Amino acid sequence: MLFNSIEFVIFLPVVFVLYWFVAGRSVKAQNVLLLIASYVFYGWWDWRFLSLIAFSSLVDFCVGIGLGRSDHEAKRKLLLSVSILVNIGLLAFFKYFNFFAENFYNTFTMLGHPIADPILLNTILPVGISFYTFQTLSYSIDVYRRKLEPTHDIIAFFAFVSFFPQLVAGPIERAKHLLSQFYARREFHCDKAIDGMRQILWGLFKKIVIADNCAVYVDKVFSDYQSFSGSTLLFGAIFFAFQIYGDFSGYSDIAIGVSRLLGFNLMRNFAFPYFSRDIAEFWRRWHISLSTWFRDYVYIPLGGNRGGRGMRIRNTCIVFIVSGFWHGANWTFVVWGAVNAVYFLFLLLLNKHNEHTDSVAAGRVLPRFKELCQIGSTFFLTVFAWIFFRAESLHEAVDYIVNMFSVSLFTVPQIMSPKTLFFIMLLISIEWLQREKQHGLQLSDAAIPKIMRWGIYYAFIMIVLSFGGEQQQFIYFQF
Amino acid sequence: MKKFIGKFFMFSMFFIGGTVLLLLATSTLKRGMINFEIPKDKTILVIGSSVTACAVDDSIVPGVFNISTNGMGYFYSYIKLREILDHNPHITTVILSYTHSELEKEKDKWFTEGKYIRVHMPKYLFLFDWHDFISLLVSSPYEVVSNLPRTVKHTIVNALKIVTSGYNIHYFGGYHQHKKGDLRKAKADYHYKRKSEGVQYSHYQKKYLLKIYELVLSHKKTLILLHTPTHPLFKNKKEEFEDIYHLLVEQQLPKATLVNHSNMELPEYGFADLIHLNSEGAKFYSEYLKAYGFSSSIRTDK
Repeated sequence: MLFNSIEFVIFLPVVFVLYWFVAGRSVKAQNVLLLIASYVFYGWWDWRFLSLIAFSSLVDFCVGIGLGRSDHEAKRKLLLSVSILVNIGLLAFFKYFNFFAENFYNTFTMLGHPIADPILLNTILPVGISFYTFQTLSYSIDVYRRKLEPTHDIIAFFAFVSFFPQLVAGPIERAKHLLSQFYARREFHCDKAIDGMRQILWGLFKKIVIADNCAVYVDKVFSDYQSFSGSTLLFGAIFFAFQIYGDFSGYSDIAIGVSRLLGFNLMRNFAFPYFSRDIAEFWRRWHISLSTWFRDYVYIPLGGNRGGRGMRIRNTCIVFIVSGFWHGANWTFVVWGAVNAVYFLFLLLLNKHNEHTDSVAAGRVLPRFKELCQIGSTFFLTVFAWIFFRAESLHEAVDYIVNMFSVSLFTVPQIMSPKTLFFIMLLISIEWLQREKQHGLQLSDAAIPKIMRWGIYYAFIMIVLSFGGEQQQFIYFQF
Repeated sequence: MKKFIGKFFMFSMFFIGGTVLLLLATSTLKRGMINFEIPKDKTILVIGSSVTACAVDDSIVPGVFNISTNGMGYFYSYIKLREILDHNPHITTVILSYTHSELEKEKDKWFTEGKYIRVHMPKYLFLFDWHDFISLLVSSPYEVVSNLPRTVKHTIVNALKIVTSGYNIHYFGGYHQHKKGDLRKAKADYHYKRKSEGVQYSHYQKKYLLKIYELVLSHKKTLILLHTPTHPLFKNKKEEFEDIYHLLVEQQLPKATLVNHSNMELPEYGFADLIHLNSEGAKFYSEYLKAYGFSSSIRTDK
């Protein structure tokens, strides 16, 4: 079920009440309830998906116990391999099989040796598979590395893997951070719950008002890009940048907010990435859970920063390309990753990839001119890369870019959505003012009187109810 | 937890109270700024659904003012009429669309279905009295509540126009020049099947038709129930409803005049579909009304 659906509006209060008033006295009862609720939530899409998540959970639970019982290195490596094989295998089967089959066929056809038509599978991509397989894999790897004690509490582990707020689109949690929260009874904190509700509201604003409204414009432009001027295509790409930000960070905000209602703390997944001053900073602020996952489980095992410059370049390229490929079985995602790799390498080679680690314009209301230029140029670099992400094929992406950078780039856009533009400006303004906070609606009780705070919440609720675009699927559900 | 529940409850009250206040304020503003007046030379008011909206061109028929609206049931027509009659005592005659299809059971959807509430409620809520609102709320609670923010938005978005130029009477509807329409497709898609369960009235259409009747009589006006021309292919459907159609007028609307032009001969090119006239058909029909008025018998002499 979607977060912005009537089913979830009913589901969440029921879970909340049962969780705190019925199961609240016992950690076991809380975990059992969360497990049942999570399976109901996930099974709502398709009950058949439950078998996969249960299977993945069971394999990694058993692998963890096996790793805990064994000091024999070969056996430990074997157990880890089983976990990797199962999780990556599930991903490969459901997500990438057809991609590899088609490319295998096309390669031989291109070389003049066509083979029989490829066998393609008619499978549904289980929602969230890219997220929970990475989450369980991180558990197995951390246990193998002896960074984490394996759990013997099967309920807690299954609940950790299937935890419904973050199951289908992250944040991808580490066992050390999230699983440990399942061991102790959660206590209700009023202030955290209230801030959680604010964060849910902010997430709904970003998803329903920003992302869903941008989607209408973006779909129109991308589906018929050859008919539009360069300036229209540019706005199409800019709107897509806000669509994917609103969609994905909105979901993360809702996930974090819902978790706080249940007494959990999830990791931050987005830290106002479009205020980044360079691409390296952007990647420290965008989809933080995924980029740190790749850093810890791909980049560092490959050698990380150790070794020469050549190795660092190689490792960086691999991480970005694999990260791109994780998003989908299409060359466009690989190229998107590669484009970002090129951006990053430029900074890496100049040794400027760790320059901006503080908050932009810290302590000031407005950015300096230099910072503004840095923010603007970084933003447009990401917009350019997003074109590959959004396009259906490489050909379409290249064609889109060529059409965009034509003389008509300097004309007035043929179509525009003033309402959407207004809300994007509102989003930017609020996030700029709140850039040192965790989310856009984290209002200080001391600084703002209650009536004003309530007025702001009221206004945002009305905006969400009145100005939402046509309901769209969360983009990251397809990953 | 108690503190949280307390705050949640207080905010919920704040939210509901704030929304009610906002709706009352915006309704009052709208009511104050809309010009309900119809030109004094227009003494015949045409009201109803798309059949009259598409058929009666009030720029051709003298003395007639059309405020019909597409997809509008008698509930909203009643609310509009109540306000307009109060502001326009010079109106002598009310002509209400009254076709066979408007009485069908499935026309209850014009009252209860979300699609129609979403369109009409934001526009007309400011004219509702509490009884109207409760009736609609009881029939479709989810649709009514979920469209309250849309209603507030509708008024706020239009606030600038309300303040600067106001709305005139055309806010309530008018002649709709039907340029689109595909009679060939309508004929091909028409598969008449007599209902096995027999003919059933639309509960809400009948209820508000009677209310319109009482309202018009209380203002001492004449009520004409008008059936605009339909395509001959529609004959079967009409026959199914024929008894009820007449029975309702005879038994419950005795002081209303039924003007049934459904059998009027019109060229094929005048129909947008089986029951609506296109702009050519409206011109033909309006010229007829100009020549012969709203007489029950259909004149064929030129």
